[in-house]
Amino acid sequence: MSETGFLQEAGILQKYFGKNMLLFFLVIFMIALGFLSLFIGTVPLAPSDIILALMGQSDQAVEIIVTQLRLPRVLLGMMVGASLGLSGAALQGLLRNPLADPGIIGVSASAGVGAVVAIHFGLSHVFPLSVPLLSMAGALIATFILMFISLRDSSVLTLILVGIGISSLATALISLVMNFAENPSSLQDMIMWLLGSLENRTVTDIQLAAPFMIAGWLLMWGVHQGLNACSLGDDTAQTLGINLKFLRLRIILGSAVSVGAAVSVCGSIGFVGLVVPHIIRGLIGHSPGQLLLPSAFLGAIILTLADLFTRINIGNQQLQLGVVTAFVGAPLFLYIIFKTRGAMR
Amino acid sequence: MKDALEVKNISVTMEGHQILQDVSFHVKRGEITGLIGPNGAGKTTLLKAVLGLIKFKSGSSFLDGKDLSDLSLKERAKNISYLAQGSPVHWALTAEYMVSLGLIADHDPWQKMAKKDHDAVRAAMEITDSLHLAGRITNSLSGGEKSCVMLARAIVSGAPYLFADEPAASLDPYHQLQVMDILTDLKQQNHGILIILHDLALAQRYCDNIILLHEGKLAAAGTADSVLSDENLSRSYHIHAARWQEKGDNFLIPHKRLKEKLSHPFGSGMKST
Repeated sequence: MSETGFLQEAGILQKYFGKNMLLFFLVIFMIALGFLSLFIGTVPLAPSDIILALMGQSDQAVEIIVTQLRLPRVLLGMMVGASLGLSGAALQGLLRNPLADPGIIGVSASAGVGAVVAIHFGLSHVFPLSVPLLSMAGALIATFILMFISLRDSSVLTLILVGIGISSLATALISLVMNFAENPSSLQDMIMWLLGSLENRTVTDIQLAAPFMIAGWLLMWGVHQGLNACSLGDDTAQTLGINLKFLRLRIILGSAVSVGAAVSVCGSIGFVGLVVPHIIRGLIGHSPGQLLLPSAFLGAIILTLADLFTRINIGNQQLQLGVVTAFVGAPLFLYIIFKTRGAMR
Repeated sequence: MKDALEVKNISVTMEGHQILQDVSFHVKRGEITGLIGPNGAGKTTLLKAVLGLIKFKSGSSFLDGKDLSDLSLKERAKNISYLAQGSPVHWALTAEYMVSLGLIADHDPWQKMAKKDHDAVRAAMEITDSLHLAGRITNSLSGGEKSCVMLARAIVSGAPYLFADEPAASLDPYHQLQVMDILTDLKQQNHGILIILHDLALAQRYCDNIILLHEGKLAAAGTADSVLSDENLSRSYHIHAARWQEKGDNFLIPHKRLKEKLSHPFGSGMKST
């Protein structure tokens, strides 16, 4: 055991550096990638233009492109990725299930219901913010149900099953709304929303979602010790002084609120929350509490990378974000499972 | 009572079934108290109720005279450590890591492991003969090796009381005796130990006091020899035990099943011996 952190665990990188070093590299990489993202778009800009625009010293057109179009998109992408990565790591630790994904608690699908309803009734044309607002309402309803369940003395299995139930019901509702879609364009809007995107997101979207995402992160601040204790099972964790009910509430509520807000502004994005903790595990080991912060940063990196891919035009269509994350995430996931199947037993 | 954990009149009901009824006993520091009884007698439930893992309908418990329910979870954890039956472990984590988790109650979430903590982990693993397994992934260990690692996890914090649910199950005779010897050493260091045992020979050999549970009620409590009487064994376990003496020590092994089960093994007149 190294001295770099309390209760650290062996991963392939640990021989060379610990969690703090990994965090340092992830942050540097994230910032570099974020800066790179500012360059890519229909209007070509030089690095000096971008730096001047960020400092508010360039001409107005460039400044608008950088600070009101590209920067919000990059920042929102990072926050969404961080929410997904952090929630994935926390939920996998809490449920002691390497297959847990923020989607498992049903919040993403419930947010989807709000969005398709807003699109179906044409609210999105009258008042564009109705989509994120209604999907946030959908996510909150799911959150309240989960909160109610986790406040009662229920097992981890109950939580997973309730999440699957909420998710299935929400998916059925989405199908129902699509079933009654009045015209192809409305249906296309719904499908595009469900595929996820960061396109044309503005400061307003950040203002809408950021408070919830940050609140979710803060709720999960300091849960690492409880998650470590949960490696010994729920009963033993409690006899080590961990308030399991409170821990569950914090993680379920924290991930529901942050993922709900994330999905509300950019649609459902799969696989980030599922894959990211596995990658971090391969690097610094399985200790559930150690995975949280690195998973948040890697989530931000992966989403920013995926968003870069969506800017590639294929024919007349652009790739949607959820499509890219699934295409990158699923093979990676299979690879990780193949590599670590021994350790998963 | 000073230097003792007292349980008074605990009753537990689960899903409409009364699992425990008015059970009272105490565990003294410097003694090993065995908790025995046939399958389904409520032993694990009793242990979990005292630990606060299961709510009890009525009754109370006291630690050195203080009401246990007044203690915070952390305080409780600092005083009583628990070794669960079979000790499930999750994730691919090393044995050393698992043992260090036993120190959680003494650390706030942001506190790093100090040198004395590393020393405590190594000392606990040395005591349980598992130091050579420190770097191994816990789930890849054999049942016996894992039991030793988990015992180290339970004793690393040095909590004054230890509750262990069948710590000797699934171990070979050498390691069974090793576990019991470790518990005896702890007892001599003034720890109070409560263990659930199915092995009556070990109970007879190592326990200072024994509590016999039968169908959720206290059937007998007292010294090993008094509780493990022919009458009690036939009434609760429906067995006959063979006994002998060697070098002044009493020995017992279950010998044969009784042909007829008693319909009302512990009537109203039967309580403590």
